[in-house]
Amino acid sequence: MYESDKSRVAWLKALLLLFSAACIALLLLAAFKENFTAPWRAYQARYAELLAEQAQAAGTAERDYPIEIRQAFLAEWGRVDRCVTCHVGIDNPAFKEQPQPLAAHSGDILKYHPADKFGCTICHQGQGRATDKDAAHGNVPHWNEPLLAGDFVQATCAKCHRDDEVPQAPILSRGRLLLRELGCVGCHRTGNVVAREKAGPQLDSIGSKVSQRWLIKWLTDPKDYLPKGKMPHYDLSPDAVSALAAYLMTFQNDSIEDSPLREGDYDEGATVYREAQCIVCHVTKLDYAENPVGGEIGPNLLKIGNKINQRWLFAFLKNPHSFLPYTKMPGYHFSDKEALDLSQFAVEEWVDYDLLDAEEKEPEPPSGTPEQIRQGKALYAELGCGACHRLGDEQTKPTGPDLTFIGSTPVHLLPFGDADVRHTVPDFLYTKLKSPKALHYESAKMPDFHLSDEDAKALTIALMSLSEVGAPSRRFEVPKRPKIIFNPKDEFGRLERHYRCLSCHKIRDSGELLASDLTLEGNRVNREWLYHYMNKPYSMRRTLTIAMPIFHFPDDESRLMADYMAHVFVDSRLGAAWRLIRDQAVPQRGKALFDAKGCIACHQLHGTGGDVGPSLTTQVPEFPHGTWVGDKLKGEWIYPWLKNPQALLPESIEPNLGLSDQEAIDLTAYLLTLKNPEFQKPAIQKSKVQKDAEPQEKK
Amino acid sequence: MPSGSSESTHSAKPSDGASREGDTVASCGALRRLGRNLLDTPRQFRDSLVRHGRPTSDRAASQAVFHNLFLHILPTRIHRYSLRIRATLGLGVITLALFFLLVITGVALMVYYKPSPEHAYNSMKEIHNVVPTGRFMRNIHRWAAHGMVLCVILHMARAFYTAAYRRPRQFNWVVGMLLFILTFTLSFTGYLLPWDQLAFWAVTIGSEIAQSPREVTDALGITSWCDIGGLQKQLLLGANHVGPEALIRFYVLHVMVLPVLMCILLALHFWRIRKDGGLTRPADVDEETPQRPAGDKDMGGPTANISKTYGLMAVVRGRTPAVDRSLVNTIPTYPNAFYAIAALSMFTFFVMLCLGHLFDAPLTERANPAVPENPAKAPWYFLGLQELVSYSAFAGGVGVPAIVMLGLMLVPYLDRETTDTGVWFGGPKGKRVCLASAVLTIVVVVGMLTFTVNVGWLRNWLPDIPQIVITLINPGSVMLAIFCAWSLIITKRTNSTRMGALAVFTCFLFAFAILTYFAMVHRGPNWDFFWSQSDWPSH
Repeated sequence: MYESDKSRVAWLKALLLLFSAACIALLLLAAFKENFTAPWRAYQARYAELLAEQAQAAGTAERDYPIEIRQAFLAEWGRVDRCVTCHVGIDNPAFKEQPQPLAAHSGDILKYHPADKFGCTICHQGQGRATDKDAAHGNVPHWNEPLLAGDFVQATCAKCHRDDEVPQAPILSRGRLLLRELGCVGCHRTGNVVAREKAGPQLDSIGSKVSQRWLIKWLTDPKDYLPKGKMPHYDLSPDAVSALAAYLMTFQNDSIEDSPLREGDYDEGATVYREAQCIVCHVTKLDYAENPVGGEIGPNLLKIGNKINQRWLFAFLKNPHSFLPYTKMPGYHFSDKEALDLSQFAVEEWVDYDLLDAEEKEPEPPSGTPEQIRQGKALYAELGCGACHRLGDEQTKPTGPDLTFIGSTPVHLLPFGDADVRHTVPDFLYTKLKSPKALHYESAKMPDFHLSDEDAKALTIALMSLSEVGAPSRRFEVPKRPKIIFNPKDEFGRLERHYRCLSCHKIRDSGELLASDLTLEGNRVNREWLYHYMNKPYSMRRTLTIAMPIFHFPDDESRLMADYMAHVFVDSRLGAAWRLIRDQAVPQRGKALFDAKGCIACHQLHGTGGDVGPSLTTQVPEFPHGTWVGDKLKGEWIYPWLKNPQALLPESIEPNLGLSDQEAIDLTAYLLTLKNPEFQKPAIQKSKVQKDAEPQEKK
Repeated sequence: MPSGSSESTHSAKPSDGASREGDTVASCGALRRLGRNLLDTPRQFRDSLVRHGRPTSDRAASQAVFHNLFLHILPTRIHRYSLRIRATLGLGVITLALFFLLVITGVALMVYYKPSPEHAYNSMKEIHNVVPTGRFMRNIHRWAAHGMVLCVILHMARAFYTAAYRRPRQFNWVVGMLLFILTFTLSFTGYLLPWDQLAFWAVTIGSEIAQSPREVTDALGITSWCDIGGLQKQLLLGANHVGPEALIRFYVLHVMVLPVLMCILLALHFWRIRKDGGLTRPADVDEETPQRPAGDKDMGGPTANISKTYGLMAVVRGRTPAVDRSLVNTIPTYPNAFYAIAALSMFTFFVMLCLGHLFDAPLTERANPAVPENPAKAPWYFLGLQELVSYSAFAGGVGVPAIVMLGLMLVPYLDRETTDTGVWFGGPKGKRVCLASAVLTIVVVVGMLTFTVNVGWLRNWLPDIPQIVITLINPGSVMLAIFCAWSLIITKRTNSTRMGALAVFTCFLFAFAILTYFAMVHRGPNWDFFWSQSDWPSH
């Protein structure tokens, strides 16, 4: 060989050696990374250390803690969750106070959702198969289920908890309620979240109801006029508003337009206003600090004086359900005079000074030209007004995107535009809800709901729950609790629909809990008391501002309702225990117990005592007989109530005193002795319902 | 026999043992013998493994190569010129090294990979997350696959520009073309296996291209009884859509059929290199024969004897190392070429291991037929075709590439000139032709893309035009026609088929590069033009 060849071969050998060594080094580096540098090894080592310390402190023997990949294999879900490889202390109660990743799970959720059955990512999302933090938490590209932070984890409850209301997930439940109430479901399909009726009022007689001036102001910026109103802000141009108003004003009710304009008596109207308890449902005044006072069930009335057509209001008060079939407003038995006086009171009391000012300064807006009306009609359809409002026989289709699976939409399909938000589905939804135009194109159709942070979050969580990812089998699903809708076809049902009892009361699963739950009213109160109360309701708590309106029920109606409630709203199982042992009761011992337990701190007895709970010996001028607890309540209610108030009414603040059976019956017997000597049982005529019910009771 | 001496040493040993056997006492001798044999086993084993000693002479070195199954694919002697970097750029060796790496990492991945739609993606995640060094292995496999495609293209270009396809190597060029196609197919079949969105939609695009002959049969109205496109897609996918059948087909092709074919063709490729007279080199390279230093005994001098010897060893056609004075310029493969190959291979491994450590192979979301990727892009090496496909599926996906491949295969049979073989670009004139072709290609392709992006194509002006017209006249076919015309002009003007071949190859190569770049960077959702990805519409 030539020298040059020799030296080249030597060079090549050297290079071969160098690269071989480098390759071996890189392979060793891979092995090293694999076996030593993974952070989870350090976490588990720390965990083992802490375990050893605890064992030492407790004087028990140390156990060897192997450092290895740990996982929950969820065959049915097709998932492997290795979260416990880092979060090793997740089910160790002794690690409650440790910082992450060693901390134990908060609450007792793992008790009901065992980790071997549910793993971690079913609820928290993230990437269960990964073993490094960013990938496992799903904060990496190409993983569509990033870890849900904080309350957002409630979104995944819906995988199994199919009910609209999930008590353990209040924000999710609230969000689903909002989806319905704000009319989201009018424009968007949202899977199993559907609304029974439209979110806004029917517009069939809008032209006879409101002034055009008001309508223009309202359409321009409803949130400015009524910040708490449901109507969202569409950001319309003045021309568009005029056209829309012109179109809507064409919908008039001929009988109202033809009725004569009359004037009522303001003062008489004020009395009607008080008796009808309008304030329970409507904001009707401001307190000294300019805060609105009144309920939020019905619309705010503070500025309707210059909005409403008094002739429409009169007709509405006479028969509200013919105008708004789904309203919560009860039907009152107003006479023509009462209705007229109340309408007079309304337009004089609740003046809108801005509109009044405008009325004086500016000319009446011109009625719409045919061109404007045509434009308005097109606009009405384009904006999707029909999603929330009924107008004639018009059929509407959802105009917004389908949100049935919005929660599992791949994030790159969402139109983020240039918005400076984190690219995740919840961030998108929250930003979009808070300000619909912020995210992408100016032409976004969705109006601005001016949502509060809490509401936007609740809605985001509800939308996140609309996911393609569901439980793998029925076995996991918590079935929808069948709802017992109270809607009987009998006479009581007719009365309920007229007085809209369910706007305030709850019966089984229907209605609102603004007033008492009537489901067990027959177990709770005596029929006689009920009859009196229906005739002249009063408040048993001086601190309460709201009370039942005085409906002036006709006598046969109040009798029928009292009988119906006493005999139908009964659970016969509730009274069984009391009836078995009531003979062993000793009222005197009950009185001693009453004094010993300090009941008087919250309840009044003969004028002394606290104001927290209802008085036990009510004396009110409106109800001359008075009702004491012994006259009103039944033993079969008091006894289980004393044993466990929250079992009967979960919201009750009555303390559970942990009374023994004997103590409870003694106390019950004592309370039953508290009867008003003045109270006379009126010999009320039995209604048909009671006659039917009595023989059954004997059986 | 050149190996006679070493064989005689081997045969001597048993007779040694036999004589010792006779000397020892039978009763206790066998046990002692067993003990001695046991002690002697390592040396015996080494001798049986490497049947010759350390190669101390050229001849022994040649035997080392000749007697070794793995080395004997190399000739025993190699021309000095072939060892120069500029002769080959080492591209063939790098490609082979990458193939080795792919086989090794591929087998490792096969252990954990499960070829079914339910488990494929999860098994990829397992390989990434919990399989010891699984992610590292997959990274290497991925980057080596891309690297191999790139090196195959460059290797082909090298072979072309040094006219290595010429007689007697015409057939080896054809084998090389087949290997080129095989490499692309291997890479493409591997693309589907992760079963992620990237894979799923890239393969969907690929299967649409396979179906594109339907464009022609539709135009001719014969699809109902001669649906070649549909048949091709059916054969590829085993169904109408990418699904479990397609996955298992791709898997079988990727891990068995294609690698076996690859090995066979590789063996043929290497064998032909030897039989066709080694690597190409310029005809005048031996004129600069170095002076032999005095006292160099090994070579034995260029005598008739030696030429005979080599003639026995390797029956070769054409100019061989064993004739004339070129023998003087050959050197033993071992250690000269051996260490060069080993060092280059090891360097390739080193680069790939580095890439494996530094960059993770992509793994996007699980394949979801309901959520199309927009844009759905094919693997990078098919993007140039995809750009042409956007005008006409058949022309871009089947017609143009088939003509190009066929044309390239025919080149050795059309260009039969013999001058300047082994010279890069065939000399200064060829360089000028290549440069001119490159400039022309850039102008034509960029111009064509600018035109179609800004103005559109036939369909934009004549909405009712029959599809067959577009199949025939589309940017792909027009560019192909321009390149062919250019090649013919060059052939005529230079009066050289070699120049024409250089021109057309340069055009193809540059067009491929520009189209690939354009489709990779400037095509966005709906295959619309964008200056950069940041301009893509958000929805």
